[in-house]
Amino acid sequence: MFRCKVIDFLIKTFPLKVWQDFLIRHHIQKCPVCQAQLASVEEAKPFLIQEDEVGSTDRLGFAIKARLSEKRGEKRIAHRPRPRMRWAWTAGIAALIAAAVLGVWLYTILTPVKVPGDEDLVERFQINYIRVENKPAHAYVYWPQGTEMIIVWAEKTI
Amino acid sequence: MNDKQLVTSCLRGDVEEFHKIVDKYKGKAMTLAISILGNREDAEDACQDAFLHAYSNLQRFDLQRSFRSWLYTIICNLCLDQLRKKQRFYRFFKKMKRESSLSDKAGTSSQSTRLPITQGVLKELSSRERAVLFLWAVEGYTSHEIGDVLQCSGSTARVHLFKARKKIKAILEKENVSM
Repeated sequence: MFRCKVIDFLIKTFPLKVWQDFLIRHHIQKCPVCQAQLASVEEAKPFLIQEDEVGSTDRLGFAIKARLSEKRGEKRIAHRPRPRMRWAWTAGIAALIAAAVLGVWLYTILTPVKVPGDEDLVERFQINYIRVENKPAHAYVYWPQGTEMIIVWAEKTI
Repeated sequence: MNDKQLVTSCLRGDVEEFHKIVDKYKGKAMTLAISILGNREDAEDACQDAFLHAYSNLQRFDLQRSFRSWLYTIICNLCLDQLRKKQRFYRFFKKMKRESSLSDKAGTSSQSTRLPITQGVLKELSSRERAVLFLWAVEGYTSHEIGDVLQCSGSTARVHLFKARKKIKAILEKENVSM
C-alpha cells in the first residue's frame, strides 16, 4: 500500500512519459491495489458514446458522397486541360505554318521581278569617261581585294 | 467484401466501392469524432473531411495495415487539429474580449466561439485521453495499436490511458460518495 502511494507520488512528480510508462508497466499493471484505482472497460463504456446512440448517419453519408462526386468532377475537369493543351499546341503550330506560308507568298508577290541583265550592270563597274575642269581626265579604278569598295581616282591631264 | 478488397477496387478506379467503405465506417467514425470533439456538428464536419482525405490519399494507404486504424488516425488528427484551432481562436477571442470589454457584443458572440462541450464527465479528460479511452474501451485496441492510431509510442498511449482510467474512476468514486 505504501509502495503504491510512492509510485503514485513518483508518477505525479515526474511528468516524463517514459518514466511514467516504466512505473505503469512495472508496478501498476501488476498491482491489484493500483488496478482497483483505474476504471475498467465496463466502467468506462457508459461514459462514451456508443454507435447506436449516434443516431442516423444518413445525412453524413449523403454529404460525403456528394462531396466525393464533386471531387471526382473536379478531377475530371483537372484532366481536361491536357487535351485542351494538346489542341492549343496543334492550333498554334498550324497558325505558325499558315503565317510562314503567307509570308513566303507575300514576299514573292511584293519583291520586284529582276530583269535579266540587271545583275550584270551591278556586277560590272564601268566608267565611260571622266572630265575634270571640263577637260578629259585620266581615271584609275582601284578595287581592294576582298572588299566591295571601289575607289575611282581621277587626274587632270596636263 | 473485406476492407482490403474494397480499397483495391477503389484503387483500380471503381470509385463506387468507396461509398461502401463510407457506409461501413460512418457510424464508427462519428462515434470516435463525437468522443473527441463532444458535439455532433463538429464531428460531422471532421468525418466528412476525414473520408475525403482518405479517398484522396488512398494510394498512400499500406494494404498490409488495417484500414479502420488508418481511418481512425485521420479522424483523430483532424479532430485534434480542429480542437487546437478552436482553442487558439478561443484564447485570442478571450484576449480581445478582455481588451475591448464590449460586454453586450461579447455575450452574443461567445456562443458562436464556444469550445466544444463534451458531455458529462468526458470534459474532465483531455482530447487525447478521450480518444485513447474510446479506442481502448469501445474498439478494444491495445496500447500499441492506440499508439499506431495516434501516431505516438505505445508507452505514451499507455500513460494517456492510465490517466483517463484514473480520472474516470475518481469521478465514479466521487459520485458514489455523494450518493
